[in-house]
Amino acid sequence: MAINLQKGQRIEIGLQKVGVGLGWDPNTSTGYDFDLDASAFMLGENKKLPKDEFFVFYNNQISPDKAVESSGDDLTGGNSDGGDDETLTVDLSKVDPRIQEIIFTVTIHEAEQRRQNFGQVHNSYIRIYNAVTNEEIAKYDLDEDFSVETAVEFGRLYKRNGEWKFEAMGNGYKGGLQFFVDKYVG
Amino acid sequence: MAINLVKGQRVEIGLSKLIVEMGWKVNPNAKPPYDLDASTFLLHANGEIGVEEDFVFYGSCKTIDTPEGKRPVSNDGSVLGSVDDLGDDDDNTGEGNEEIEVDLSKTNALIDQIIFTASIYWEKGAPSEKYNFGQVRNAYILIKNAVSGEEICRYDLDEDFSTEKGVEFGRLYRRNGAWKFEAVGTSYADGLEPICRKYASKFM
Repeated sequence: MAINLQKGQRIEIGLQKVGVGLGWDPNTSTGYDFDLDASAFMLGENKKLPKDEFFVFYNNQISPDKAVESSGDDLTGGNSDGGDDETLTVDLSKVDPRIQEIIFTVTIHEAEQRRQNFGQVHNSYIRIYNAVTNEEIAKYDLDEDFSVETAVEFGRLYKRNGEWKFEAMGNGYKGGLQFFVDKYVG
Repeated sequence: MAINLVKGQRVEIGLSKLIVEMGWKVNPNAKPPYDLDASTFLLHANGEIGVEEDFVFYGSCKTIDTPEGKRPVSNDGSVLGSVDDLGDDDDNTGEGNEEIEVDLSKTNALIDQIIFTASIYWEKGAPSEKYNFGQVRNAYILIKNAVSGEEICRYDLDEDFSTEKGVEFGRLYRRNGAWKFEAVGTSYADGLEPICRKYASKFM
């Protein structure tokens, strides 16, 4: 069950622990493997990383405050059959006070060289769930919703009046991880 | 205006009576002459055919007689395959195309997706290394409105397949109660056989 945002209903309790899961099917035909990557950008008030280590990705699997941690890189989609292949876990109680929002992205590694897009990656999705209750908050089917794209800004956790909330963004781009690095690394 | 698709792209098909056309041009200097076949698989949600008739190809176990010749047909009658040899190089131009008629209103509710493939046929014992999609150019799949003839979408396979002998051109699939089409364009090394092993293994 996703959150019902009908007016008059307020989500009183902010989020404490969340998980971001990325799943996809391995390539069963000839050609390159599909290597999808989930990453997190932890931003300060100025919408930039306070320092580079607040960018959590395959080469930096934990943030300096230990709030965001990556399960590690899956190079093929073979980690799980039908379930999440890569996970980012977020413990919002540990987030550095300078951080005002956390952006989650998913990108295809070397999409241009390998001539790939999300449409080719069957059963690819990204989802965010409340890790305390295991309730899913939002989910995109990447192959359906972003078939010709190679990078998606999935959504963001942001702080309002001391509480963390999630907003789905769903912005698709035809770039790679570098596109987001250029955007958020000051 | 037909939409030109790129590999992986998906579009919604707002019609039930369709013609799926696949075409190609074989290098006229290719020796020996090529025999290309279009085949269709109607798959259940488990990704496999449920009955043998749902592998619609030149050797289908269910056919109907038409003025153009014998045509293979799926178990539910929703997919009418092309006449064998229509896609061959009969006029020495190297060009071929095959038309498959699809009526999605007849498709059995258990059918989740319909896969369209083309593969090179070679006789047992023939030098198989002489047959490959490297000799096949201008391959495309397009979907037409069967009533008006209007082109809905088209995908020109832009990849340089070299040693492969079988290619999945596209697929129709159900999504939230509607039918969509995906430009697939993935290849298989050994022609129709590995494609059959994937979708029809229990009948092999």
